[in-house]
Amino acid sequence: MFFHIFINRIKMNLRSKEMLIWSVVFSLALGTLFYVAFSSIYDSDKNTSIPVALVEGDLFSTIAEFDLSNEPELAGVELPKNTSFEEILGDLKYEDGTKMLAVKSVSVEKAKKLLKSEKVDGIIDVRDIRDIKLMVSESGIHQSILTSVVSVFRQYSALIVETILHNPSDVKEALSGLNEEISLVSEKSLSGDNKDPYVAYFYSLIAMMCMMASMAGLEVPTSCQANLSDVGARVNVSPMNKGTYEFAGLAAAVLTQTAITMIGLTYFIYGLQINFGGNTGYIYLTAALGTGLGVALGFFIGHIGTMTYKTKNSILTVVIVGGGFLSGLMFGQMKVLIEKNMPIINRINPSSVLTDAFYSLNMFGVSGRYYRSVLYTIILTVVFIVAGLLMSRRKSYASL
Amino acid sequence: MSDTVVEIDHLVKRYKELIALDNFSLRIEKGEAFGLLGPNGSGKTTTINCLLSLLAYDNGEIKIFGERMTPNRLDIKKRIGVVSQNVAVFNELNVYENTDYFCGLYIKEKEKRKQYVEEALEFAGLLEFKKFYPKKLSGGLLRRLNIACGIAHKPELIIFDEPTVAVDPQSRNNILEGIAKLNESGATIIYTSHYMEEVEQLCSNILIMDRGKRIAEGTSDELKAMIKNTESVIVHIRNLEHELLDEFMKLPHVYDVKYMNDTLTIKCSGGKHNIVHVAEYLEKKQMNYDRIYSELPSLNDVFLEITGKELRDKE
Repeated sequence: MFFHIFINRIKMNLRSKEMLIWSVVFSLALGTLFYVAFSSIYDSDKNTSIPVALVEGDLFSTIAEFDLSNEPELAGVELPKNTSFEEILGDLKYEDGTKMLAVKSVSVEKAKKLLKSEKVDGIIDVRDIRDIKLMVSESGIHQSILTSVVSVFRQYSALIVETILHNPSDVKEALSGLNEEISLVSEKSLSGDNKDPYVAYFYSLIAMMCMMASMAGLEVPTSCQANLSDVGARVNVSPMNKGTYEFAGLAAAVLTQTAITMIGLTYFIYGLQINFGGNTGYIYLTAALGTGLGVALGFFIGHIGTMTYKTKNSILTVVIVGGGFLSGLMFGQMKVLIEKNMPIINRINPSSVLTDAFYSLNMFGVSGRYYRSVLYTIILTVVFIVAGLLMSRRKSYASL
Repeated sequence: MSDTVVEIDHLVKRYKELIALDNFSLRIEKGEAFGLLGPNGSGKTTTINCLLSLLAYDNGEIKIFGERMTPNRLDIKKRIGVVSQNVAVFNELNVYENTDYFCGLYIKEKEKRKQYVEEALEFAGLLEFKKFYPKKLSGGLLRRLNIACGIAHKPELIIFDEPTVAVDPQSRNNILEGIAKLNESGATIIYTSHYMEEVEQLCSNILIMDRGKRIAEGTSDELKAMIKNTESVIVHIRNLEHELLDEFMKLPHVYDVKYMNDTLTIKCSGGKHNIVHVAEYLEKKQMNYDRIYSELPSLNDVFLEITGKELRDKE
């Protein structure tokens, strides 16, 4: 009996044009729209190589030409191939593989001309490696990056020179320290897993897809409550156990809606190549749990009171949109304001719980806060389903 | 063991101030085709919904198959089929799937269900529309699908709640013939309608209700025997002087005469050859008329005479 209902409910969910339009087409279209809209912003923010003029001197060349093989204590230690300062700088890369600096090794005079004509953003003068100088003509992100790079080189170049000249046996450690520091500069990551500010919109979109699943949840009581639909009356006069009927309907709704959410998410990740950071598995998991929460919310609202289907549908829409607003989907500071004044709302509002889970993943990775959000998601889902089932016990209606 | 299938005793159902069912009682025996006749809003559907435990009621008792009916009596529900006033099917399932879906709420065995669904579709004349989705069906076919979904599990008691509303005459005849066949095969039928002709054609026992109250019950003939009118003679005649109406009242067995829209209606109580008496009188008075005919009383006349109003609104 369970499978009879389950299979047929799946068929109905997949054939429901309204549901497919809102759950699939609308979400994918909105995602594509976001992608197109943000593409231009992404392009303007894209990492570009910073043109820089390098003025090299004899001292560095001397160090670069050090023959370490003459030192028995340094057996096995090799200076990197890029022993020229130009090559070391040229090897620095952003996270996406783009070269950080476009280095031109020139004379001082030529370098100044290039800076003046704005063909380079800065001049790195390494004629005296113990006093590396940086000249920039204005301030900006490129100039800030150059300052950071030079700052690291100032520290480490001096250290390496000192090490090679006075304590050559420690040169291996010194070189490794230099590489690590350069790596940190190139990632320029402060914390968290994802630095992309626009990915938050896609998280909001996924949260919205999860909440849209509530429409499928609402269909479950609608199909078996006599006061909500004619088919509900027909099911009500049948000998079908209502609990079994609703469980089968719920399972079918969760399955189909989760599949739809997963399709959307996969389209975002692999189709649009949206970078959700390194927690793809957890994002899928959160989206699946969120879809379950959405279905449970619709199921719960479908059982409240004796209102008509249209009224309940309107209430659900208000809850989704209102909940989304309170969770900060439209106004980022709203969630913070609520957390300050009425934190309980953030715990019971499904949209808030869900966005918090995504926010935690986005900002802090798989952390305690993420697990707390997942726990709230599960608790809310269970509460909604149990409350719905309790309200749906076989009963007579006061009016139909 | 009692052969009574349905017993309703002193049922009272109120919607706030409105009394929808006022001490309403009825009894339906096994194998009966029972007609529940009344105008719109008389309480027919409320009675059915209370009977099925869909509606809570304020007072009274309902027994089906000798057992008290409650929302949890799945064993009783298993033996009942319902064809509701509104078409209750899923738009996302085709004709076969819809019938199978609702049959599946009663019959677990797949093979048996398949056979029952095929039989129901054949009964409803829907075999060639198996793959059609409800939106592609005409109003009549949709009604037939509604019936197939309600009877596929071969119930012992079938409730038809105004199944022919908004159905074309041909489909209506098919539906009525089908219901008669179900009754012949042993099913007890409850048929609610405000179409007196349908009830008269189909039902062996008829209960007329109005404003939640029982007005009269019996066979069609018994009900008609309850009223004064036995024959109405109708004459289409132009420009009849109203003074002459009293003359018609003097004819044998005539107890009421009305003239409206060039139609003279002479109501008679008892006697034979009333139409001959009227025709002879018209000839004697050299009055020209277009047409003359006689009508036997209908259930509408019964309703009209008892309640003072028409059974159904003029359509």
